[in-house]
Amino acid sequence: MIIKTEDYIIDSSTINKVIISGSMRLPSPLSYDQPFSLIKKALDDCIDTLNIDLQDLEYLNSSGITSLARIIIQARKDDKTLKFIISNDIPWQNKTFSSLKILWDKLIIEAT
Amino acid sequence: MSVIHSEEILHLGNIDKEKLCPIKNKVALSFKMIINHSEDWEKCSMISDFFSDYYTSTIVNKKKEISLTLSTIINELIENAVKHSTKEHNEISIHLKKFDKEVLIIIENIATKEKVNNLIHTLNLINSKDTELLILNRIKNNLLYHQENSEIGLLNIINYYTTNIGAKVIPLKNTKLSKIEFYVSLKHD
Repeated sequence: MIIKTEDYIIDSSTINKVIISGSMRLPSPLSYDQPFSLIKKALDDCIDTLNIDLQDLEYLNSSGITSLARIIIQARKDDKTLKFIISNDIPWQNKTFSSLKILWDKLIIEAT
Repeated sequence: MSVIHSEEILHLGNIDKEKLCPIKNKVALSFKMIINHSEDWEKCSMISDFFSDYYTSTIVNKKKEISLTLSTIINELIENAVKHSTKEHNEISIHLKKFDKEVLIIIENIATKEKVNNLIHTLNLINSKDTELLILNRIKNNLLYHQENSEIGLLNIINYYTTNIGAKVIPLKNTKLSKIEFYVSLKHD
């Protein structure tokens, strides 16, 4: 499934993989529930590791980071491995994920 | 129009106050707007990108990195100001001042006493606590108590970027409101 807006695209059409690109600056953590429902569904469906590719996500505001952290906490509850593919060229990604790693042992960060 | 009680002005944070004194006469870019939380939310991002593009237009080294960082910081500050403004006082001002390898951003808005107290609480944590741990605790509390706001925007700026941060809280006479002037300076190569 794909959610496409003027600002961002969330693509979960490949099994065990979600690609988020563009700019996500929604007003509250609650407002991320609908677009991130694709990630939650992909997490439910995945058997081994869910790969979340953020290399082309230029902006995610603090509400979005909080919502992404909720996904990580959900993965911990479900005992599933999450792998985030991030870009070293996008400052918020490296900085944020160095902190979020503490939330779940089976959180893998691949920086490109 | 309310009159300011100058003797009650509260200074917070760790920003170099000498940089702030002549600010009104030396701004490089200044902008005033009205934002209605639900209707105009997308304008926060639009204005952040504009200020960032303006500042980095003459920068050569690490242009993209500085642009992305600055837009991220300004967006969090504007979002914070919008969330802390009242419906009746939803005008926000942004000023950008350029120094050598340093940019100073000032955001002004009017807030209630409750919002001012939240801001004071957050800024008082700058030097006294582990901000990374605070961010993670706030994320966990947000999930636990289904809070409306993430409450980590300012902490993210403090924790992840090479910034100094501060605020001036100016009570408005005969009201329960205060004007907040919020300052962030970002140093870069």
